[in-house]
Amino acid sequence: MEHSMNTPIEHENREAIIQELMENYGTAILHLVYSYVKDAALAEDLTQEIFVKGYHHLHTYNGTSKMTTWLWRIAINHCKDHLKSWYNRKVTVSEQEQLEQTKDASSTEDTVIQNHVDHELAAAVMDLPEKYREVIYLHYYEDLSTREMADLLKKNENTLKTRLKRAKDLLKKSLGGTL
Amino acid sequence: MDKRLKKLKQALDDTSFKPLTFDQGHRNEVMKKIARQECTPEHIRLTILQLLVQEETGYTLAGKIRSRGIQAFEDDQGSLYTTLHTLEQKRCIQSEWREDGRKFYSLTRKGRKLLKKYESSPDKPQVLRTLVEAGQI
Repeated sequence: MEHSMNTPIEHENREAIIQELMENYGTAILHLVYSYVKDAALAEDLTQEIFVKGYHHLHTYNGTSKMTTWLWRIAINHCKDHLKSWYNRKVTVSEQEQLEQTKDASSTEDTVIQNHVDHELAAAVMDLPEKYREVIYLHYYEDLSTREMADLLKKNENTLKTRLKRAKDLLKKSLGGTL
Repeated sequence: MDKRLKKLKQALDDTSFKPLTFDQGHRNEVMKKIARQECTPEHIRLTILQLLVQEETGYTLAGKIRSRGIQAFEDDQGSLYTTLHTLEQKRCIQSEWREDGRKFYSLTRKGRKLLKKYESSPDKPQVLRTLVEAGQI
């Protein structure tokens, strides 16, 4: 996946790179996006847009960081742009409603068979405010260190450490002190 | 303290993420979107600028356009020359007859500048729109 960007990438090559990225990381990006927008159909749309964007922005990949970091950054920015956008603020008020529905559906069908899986935890994480959900997700789901997160999010590492601590406090509170 | 969070991956994979897979259908959709964007007339004009970084005859250019997957000129080679003429009038490209009777096309300074502006922008579709609206390309 390491490409040198000294020469412009040929067209066929660009398509092959995007294909490869989609095959290897498509689902991971979809999950990442879902963790921001909490809506399956929307997450699918945004993920597709992210890869189209990646195709047009391949030249911004400078070859020094990992290509996954570059892709994750595009994805995260795209999600944040969407959440900040006029359209999202005005149009998708029903998001919370949908989340409640999916929560209901999954909890009824799975309670019996999956006692060992921590549904409560998953739901509590998804209910966190965005900036806390983000660090919990990247740290505990994607296994990124605070340093890697700092690089990815272009934030101070200490800021993220504080945020992570605060996020865990919030989780502890919502889960009744049992974290 | 972190113990419970260590299970977050499994917890999310088994709940919210379970129905979420980016499959072949999604991938095809992305490639279709890319292809669609690449086939608008302005994109074709832009592609021609990209290819004319080195000089080409109409014939060699047509081959390279085809190898980029653009089929707009397949049944109508003549319209390629119309497009080249348009770009020449906008002073993005220039042409020159050689003694062997072949006509070579290449970028002008203006064309080179526009292309550079486009290539170095983080938001290429936006730059293209602006250039088109300004009638520059």
